[in-house]
Amino acid sequence: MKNKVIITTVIITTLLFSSTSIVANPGGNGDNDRDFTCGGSCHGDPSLSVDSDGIISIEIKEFVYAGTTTEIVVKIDEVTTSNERIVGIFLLGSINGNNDQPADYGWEIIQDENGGTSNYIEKRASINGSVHASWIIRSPTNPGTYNLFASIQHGIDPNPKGLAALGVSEKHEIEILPIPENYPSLSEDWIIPEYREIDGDGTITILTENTDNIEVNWKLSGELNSNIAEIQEIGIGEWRVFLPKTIGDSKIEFQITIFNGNFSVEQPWMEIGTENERFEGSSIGARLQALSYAIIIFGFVLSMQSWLVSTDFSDYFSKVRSKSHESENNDSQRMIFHEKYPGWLWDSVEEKWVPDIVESEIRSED
Amino acid sequence: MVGAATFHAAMVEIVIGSLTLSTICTICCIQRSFKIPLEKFQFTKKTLDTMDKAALAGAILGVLMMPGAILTGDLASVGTPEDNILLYNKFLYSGLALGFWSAYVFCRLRFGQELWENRVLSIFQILMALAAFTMTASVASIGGKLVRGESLFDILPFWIPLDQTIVISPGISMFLILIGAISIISNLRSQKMPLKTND
Repeated sequence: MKNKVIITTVIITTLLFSSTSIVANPGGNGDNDRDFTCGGSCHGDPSLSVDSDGIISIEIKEFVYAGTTTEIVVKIDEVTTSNERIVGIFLLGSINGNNDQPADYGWEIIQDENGGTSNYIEKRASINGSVHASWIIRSPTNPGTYNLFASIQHGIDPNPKGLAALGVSEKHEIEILPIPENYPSLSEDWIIPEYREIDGDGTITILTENTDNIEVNWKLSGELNSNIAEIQEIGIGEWRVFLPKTIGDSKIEFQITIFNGNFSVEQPWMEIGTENERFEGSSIGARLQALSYAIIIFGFVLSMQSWLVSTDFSDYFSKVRSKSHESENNDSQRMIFHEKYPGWLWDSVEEKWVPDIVESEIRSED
Repeated sequence: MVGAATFHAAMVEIVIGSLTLSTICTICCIQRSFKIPLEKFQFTKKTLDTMDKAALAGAILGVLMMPGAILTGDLASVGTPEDNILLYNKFLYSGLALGFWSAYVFCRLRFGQELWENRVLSIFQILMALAAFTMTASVASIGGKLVRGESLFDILPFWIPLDQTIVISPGISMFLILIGAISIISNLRSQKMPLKTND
């Protein structure tokens, strides 16, 4: 008997330790600047990946002036994902495997789809397998022909081998042209702040070049009609723009139009939120608060029980019991026993014979 | 090498499983005090005794494993309670769950099976188990939110504010610990009262 227990324990332990160690990221890796090879999960290894069935396309202007801002839209359609529906999307300057981020080729990401400045972002695909993402990027300052790629990684279902699905778009060539003289543009030093401070007045500062005026339209995400923001010039090419504050996760979309004389350049729509209220918790505070809650609850329950034990609830229960007895008496008056029919009772209300359950139980016990 | 996250997953499964069993058995034990009208669902005294013992065993196992689950969860977490309200709440709900379940076990051991013969105490014990299980489920739900971004609480028709919290200073926490400790000691030192049963 003892040997059987030992053998069973050894078998179970061996089975538990012999299972394959698989590290997956079902909740995603999070937005970050990532090369394609690793993507945070080392899925570049062919033994750990399969081809994605998603159709990837890129939308961007065919030519862009050097050092100016433009929008690139990556569309993924008909992609089959895991139940999480998370799709990781890369914007790449090449597919060399390393040093392939847009920044390595002179591009600068001003804003990604999720409000950050990462070349790798994660989004949930719709139920029909579509997911779109856009980046606001500043083009390289040196004219020439540049390439951009989009790539995706996601889970699949079913996925018994724990593989990741990978997909890469076709090469997309963009002609970077020399910027015309006095061409109005956003300053190279300007990046959209991710959030506005909650204590501030909700303004943002915009830096421009070769500009004598700007106009900013804003709207809440999803709205069709836009509003014109109030603008104050605070220096040469430096503008303070008043945008309404937002609450929680909601964001404001805004579009800057830059003027130089009669010539104007419309920038892509960008978005900005307001910083959430600061959380002032601490690790030691959390532990102490949890311990205090545990002890207070324990003490409170003990006190409550002592009080409940010492309090006499007999009056209340006697009332309940008397009501119960009344209903039992009514039941006994309703059921009439007849000597001729043992095991049966006459229901005077329903006017029919019913089996006497009590008597039949006594018989079965005998 | 097995990481803290793996130990945490194993311990959480043990804690949740045993406490779920304990809660179900505790609810069924109400039959010791109140006769339910549906005969088909009436358990025999022997079954109810077994349920009481299973509830106690499940709660003891859960209480013993809970500190381990909290510790491994702390080691396995990516962020810290300083910058994550969910993680902060996970600590608080863990404290509440531990407090409720410890009290549940202590009260059951204090009064024995006679506890179920007292209607008021048996109702109180069941309410305590339900509160404790709600706290435990909340902790598990926060874990799901942190790892997968969703939890079963999302489909509930009511909203549990897991993304809001109450932060009290460590000084006040220490004061509460002191008050709680005094309350527990004074309760334990008081004379044991005779338990009034239904009959």
